[in-house]
Formats: sequence, C-alpha cells, structure tokens
Amino acid sequence: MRREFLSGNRAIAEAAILSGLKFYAGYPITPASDLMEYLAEKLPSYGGIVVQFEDEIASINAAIGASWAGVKAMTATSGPGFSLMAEGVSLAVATETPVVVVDIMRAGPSTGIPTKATQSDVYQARWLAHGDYTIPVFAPWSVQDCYDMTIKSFNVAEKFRTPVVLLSDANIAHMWETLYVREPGEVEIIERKKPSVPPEEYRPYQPGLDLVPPMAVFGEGYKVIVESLVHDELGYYRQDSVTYREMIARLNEKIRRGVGYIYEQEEYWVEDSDAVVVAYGSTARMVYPVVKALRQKGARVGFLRLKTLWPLDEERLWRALSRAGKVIVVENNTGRVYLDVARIAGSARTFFSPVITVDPPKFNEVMEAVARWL
Amino acid sequence: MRHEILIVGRGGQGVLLLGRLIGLVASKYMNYYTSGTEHYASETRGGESRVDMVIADSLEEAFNFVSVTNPHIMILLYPYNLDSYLKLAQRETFVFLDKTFHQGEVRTEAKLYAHEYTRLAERLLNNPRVANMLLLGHVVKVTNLLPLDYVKMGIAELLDKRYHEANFKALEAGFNLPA
Amino acid sequence: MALAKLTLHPLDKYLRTDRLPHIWCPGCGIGIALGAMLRAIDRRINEGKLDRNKVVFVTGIGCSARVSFYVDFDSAHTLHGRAIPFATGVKLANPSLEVIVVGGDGDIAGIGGNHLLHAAKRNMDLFVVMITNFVYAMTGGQLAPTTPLKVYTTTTPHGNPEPPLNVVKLVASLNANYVARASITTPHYIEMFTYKALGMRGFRFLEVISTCPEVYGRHIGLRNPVTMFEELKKRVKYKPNPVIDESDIDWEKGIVIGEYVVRNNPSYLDLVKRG
Repeated sequence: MRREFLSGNRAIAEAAILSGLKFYAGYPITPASDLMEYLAEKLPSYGGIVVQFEDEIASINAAIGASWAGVKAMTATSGPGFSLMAEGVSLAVATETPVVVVDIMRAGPSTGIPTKATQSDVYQARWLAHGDYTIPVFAPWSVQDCYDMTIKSFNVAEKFRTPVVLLSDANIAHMWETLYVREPGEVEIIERKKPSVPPEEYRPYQPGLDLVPPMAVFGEGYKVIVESLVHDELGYYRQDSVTYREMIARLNEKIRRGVGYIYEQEEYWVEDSDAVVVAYGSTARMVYPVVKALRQKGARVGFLRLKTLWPLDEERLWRALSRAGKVIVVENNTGRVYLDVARIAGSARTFFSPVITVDPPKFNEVMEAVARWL
Repeated sequence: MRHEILIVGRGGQGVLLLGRLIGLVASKYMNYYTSGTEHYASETRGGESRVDMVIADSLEEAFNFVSVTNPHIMILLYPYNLDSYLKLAQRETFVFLDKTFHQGEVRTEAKLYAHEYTRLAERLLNNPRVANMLLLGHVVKVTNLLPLDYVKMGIAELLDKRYHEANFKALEAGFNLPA
Repeated sequence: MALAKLTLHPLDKYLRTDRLPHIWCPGCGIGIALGAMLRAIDRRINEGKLDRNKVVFVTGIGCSARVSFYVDFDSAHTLHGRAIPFATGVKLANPSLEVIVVGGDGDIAGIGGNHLLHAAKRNMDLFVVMITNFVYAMTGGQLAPTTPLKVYTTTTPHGNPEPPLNVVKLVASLNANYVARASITTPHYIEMFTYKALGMRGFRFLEVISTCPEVYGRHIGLRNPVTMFEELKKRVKYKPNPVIDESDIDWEKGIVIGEYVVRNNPSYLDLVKRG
C-alpha cells in the first residue's frame, strides 16, 4: 500500500490495472476521456491494450468480445455515449459477460453540459437497456472510493458474470485527492469460475448453486456458444415460456441472491437520530459536513450513504431507516433513488429535497435542503 | 491543521501542474491528506484556470470542504478577478502575485509578494514557461509549507526527464528571491 | 428392425448436427457458401495451418448470421450489426484465434457499415464474409443497402429510389489486405478465396453473391429456386484480375467476381503497441 495523489478518473484507471484489466475500448467524451488517455499510456506495459473505436456502440461490443476471449475488459463514457451502449449492455446481460462500464455523469439530457456534473443518469445506469434484468451499480463519493469500488466492480462482474456500472460524475472525476493505492496481493481479486468438466460434458449456461454458470472462453476447446437470443443451458435458442422464465428468473435472481456481497451502505449517527439524510456520490460529499454541523448544533440527525445504488439490500436499508421518524433524500436530480427509499423506509415519513446544480453543491444550499424538513 | 491554497492563472501557465505537484508532495512525502479541485474554461489556451487545494493533518479535515474559503496561501499567476480573490485574503494570508501581467496598485492587508515572476523567468532562465516553478520556489522559501527537496522529488516524479533541469533551476531561482 | 447405417457427410464433424435441420429456405444460397467455407477450413486444418480449437465464428443477426448456430467451433451470435466490433475485441484479446465474421449485407454494410469501414481502415486482423442477397430476408423482404434501383421491397412498394451500395468498392477503397467476390453459383471460388484469406493477415473481405428465391425472388419474379440460380449463374463472370471499376453489381451487364485487392500492408496487430 502506498500513498498517491490522483484524480477520480486516474484512480479508476489504476484500480482497473490492479484488477487485471487487459482490454479497454472507448470513444472520447468529456468528462471521461482522460481516463482513457491515462490507460492508453500505461496499460500496454501491463500486457494490455487500449483501442479507440469509431463509437461507443463498437466500444461496448468489443469489450464484450474481449471478455469472451478470456480477459478482463472495461469501457468508460458519459451520458450520451452511455445511451449508445444500451444494446451492448443488454447483450452482456443475456450472455452473462463480465464487463465493467464506467459512466462519468455530466449534465443531460442530450448533449447537456459536458464539463459539469449532475446525478441525472441514475436510472440510466439501472435500466439503460431493454429487457427484464438487474445489474449492479456503484456510486463512489471520493477518489479513494473510485479506487476501491473499481476493484469491487471487477470482482462483482467476474463473480456474478454480469456487466457492472460504476457511476462517477464530473466532480469526482476531476477532483484530486490523497489515496491509498494497493500493491498486487494486498486486496482480493476475483476471477471468473472456470468449468470443471471436460468439453463434451460442458453446458455453457448451466448454473452452479450460486446461479452463476462456469465460463469457458474461446480457444479452450469448449466450443463455446455466445447467444444473444433467449437460450437454454446449452446456449440453444428457445422460444417457449418455460425457457424464457427460467433464464430471466436466474439472471435477476443471481444478482438478488448476491446482494449481501454487492450491497454496501455507510451509516453515520443513524442509531440515535430522529431524522436520517440519505445521499450518494458527489452530493453525499456535501451532505456529510452539513449533517455534522447540524449535530454540533444539537440536532438529532444522521446520515446514510449508499455506496451501491442497485441492487439495494432492502432489509438492511429498512433496518437503518425505519427507526428514524423522518428520512430526507438529497439528490442532484428530480428524485430517482428517492422513489425506492420512500418505498423501503417503512413507517418513517420520507421527504425528497433536490439540490439541482451543475456546480459542486455548496454548504448553504445543502443545509437549506436538509434543514427545510427537520 | 488545515491549510487552504488557491492557485489562479491563465490556461497554459501551468496552474493545474502546480496543484498536482503540491498535492503529490504533500500526500506522498509529507503524509498530509490533500485535495485539489480543478476549474477551467473550455479553451486550451487562455481562460481562467483555478485549483482549490486543501492540505490537512487528518482525512476528516481534508474531506469535508474541498473549496477554498479561508486561504492560507494564494498564488495568482494572472490577475483574473483579482479584486474578488483578494477579498478572500486575511491579514495572515500569503499572497503571491505575478506583476508581469498587473501594473496597477494592489490594495490588500495580506502579506503580499508581488514580483514579475514571468519576466524573471525570461531574464534569468530564458524560459517564461517555468514561471510557475519560479513562483513555487518563492512560496517554498517564504511559507516553509513544503521542503525544497521534496518539491524536486515531486517534479522528478511528475515530469518527463528532459524537463527536470529547467524546472529545478526555476525552483531554485525562486527560492533565492528575498523572503 | 435394423436401421440402415447413416453415412455421415465429411463436413458433419464441423457442424452441431443436433441443431439440424437448419432454418434456411429451400433454394437459399447460405448453405452452399457455408459448405465451401468449411471445405477451406478443413483444408487448412488438415495442413496443420489452423487449429480447430482456435477458430471463432462471430455473427450478428439475420439469416446468414445463423451460421453460428450450426458450426461446431467457438461461436458468438451477437447483436445486429455488431459482429465486427465484437470480433475485434476477441482478436485483440487473444491474437492466436482465427476470427471469422459472417453476415448478410444488411448486417455487415447496413446497420454495421460504420464498423465495417473502420475495421477495413485499421486493417484489423479479421476475415469477414458478407453474403449478399439484396434484401432483408429474415424480417420479411425490406430494403437492403444492396437492393438495386427501382426494385420493389415491402418498405419501397413504389420502387427503390436509392442506387445500391457497392460494398466491394467501398472496402477496396480502404486499407483492407484482401477484397474478393464470389457467388454461390461458383462455390469453388468461395472455397479458394476463403482458403487464401485464412492464410493472410489484416482485414480480409469476401462478398458472396447469393440467392434468396423465397423473399427476394418473389420481389423480382424469380420465385423458383432453380430458375433464380440459373439466372444468377448466367450473369456471374470470373476475371483473374478484375479492376475495381468493374465491380458494380449490374443485373443487365453482369456481376464480376474475382480477387479485387491482394496486398500485404501491415495489419493492426503489426502496428499496435501491446504488452
């Protein structure tokens, strides 16, 4: 472990290298381009390759192809490019391909404000593509968090054979902070499960007890079938309700069952509080000092930060929130995660208090948003 | 301890590099917790660049507020919004201003160090592009914030080898200016 | 009652025979194209130049893309138009694989057109086989990028107002190392060109002119598979060294097949910095 001073985007790149990234595909877009530039410089010396493709559609599909050739793959983008990746993400879902997609949120819709941060892509991260699926979404709030959650994103992608979205934003991307960087061997790096049977017995989509099928890749003699159509355990196209139901149930259930591993929340002064403020990402960064200041003035208010946006551990979140009389959700959008928190919070009264700004939220703005409901 | 440093200049003057260098030295060689928030215009050259830096003993002190509101040091390589930035300066703030780009009077109660850093870099080193390092050398001398040797180590780590010598010289030239 | 012993076809070893019968219509040319390709692959394997476990078929969506259902190699049936970028990722992640993309003209040159031109520009180390049937057949007969001018399709019921795309000319204008055209009426050339392409580096492109009596044949009044095959055969002319200016597909003047581009430019893998 050593101390470094890096930006959020560089921290993601460093953590990806540590996690074993060997293939990065991308297309330039503010505020994600410098992540690719940094990797383009460094990754070849770690045995990897960085390719600038013709668009984000090619980028995500190439990353999925690389993953099937047996390497860890990643792409990074921002809202408009993320929109173009929608179909590719659905392919990764259906084919159960480990791949990490980093979305550095800027202000949308459309071209929006490329250099400025909001939290307006939260649902995009959750439900980007067509089809009935669940994928993990992580929301870091600091450079250290970018680093740690990138490692986690790769681990989750490999362990559950799923695309994972790491949802940063323009504020964190270009903020520089002291962080602890790990050396190889200092942190657990998970690799996808390989088949234990010979090729003639291998069924490419037959799950283990964790509902995740072992993954043979190209070139190993397993005659792998990557199938974008609805398929059975052999990877053969089926058009019947039974196969469809089994496949969709398993794709969702393998993530839901993994929630204990995937989901993380951080609680500050939640135990003794009458009101709890819920926030995530760069907005949470300012909620934290606001709640601290309120407590110094004697208010019985706590703070809960969501590190994982989806899937939510509803039981755990409910336990933390239901004790409080009030729950206040602060987001830099018109209310996204709020809808789930309001559903989960149980008997607590829930309030949504947006801080919609394209500049880093100011102390007074956030204080006003929180104090209004206390 | 929590120190705030504000660095302001024109795009191309090496404002962001100064921030990254100070942050690296403080984080890596001095075990401080540091944050740097960069602001810049869309233009690659020209336009205001600014870094808000926080250097603190503990993560808690560095983490809470990353904007500069009470600067310990202000490094003004270009007089963008000079009056409004000077309003942030307290009596004990160290203000370093490049006079090359500002001929007028500077009214402040802060500890003002106004030199023609860019012109000095031209004259002493034949290279106006290292004015940022010359100024940093002077900051190091006056404020004792970072040891000179550590800053050199930071330069060696951040910059390509062929730029080391010019930047070391500029740093030393700044360090040799009167405190 | 004893059943007569089935004699296996010599290419069955490269097919997932449990997935047969295939979906292709009577008179469809895709099977002829696939058979010829497999014979070329078989030759390469028998010569010890190709490892069967290192062959990967990548396809998109469409009738031709269904090839990945039936070949008993590593295979990927991916998204409509995205076979080339997927295959690019495969090849760059493991350069020891021989990656073959098969698709229709809609898949490769329509929705996937931008990927095609960039892969050719990069001289990416892929072999792309585009099976041209002049129509979107799987979806029921809509306009394709190669549909000739004025032809009726279900989405141009008043006649196609767009001149067709000459994909051979497009790819030849870029940095591809190999650009050839064959026809399902000349399967020996499909085999010969495939065999040759598999021994080369860089971007290799083969267009196979095919018949689709079921859908396209209905549009142009050649509903009978034999008649359509005969009509295509009449128009196909092989030239040993065709020039690109004669590559336009013209039902009246004929369709020139042959090797349009053969060169040895450095490929992407030759030029890219990797660890």
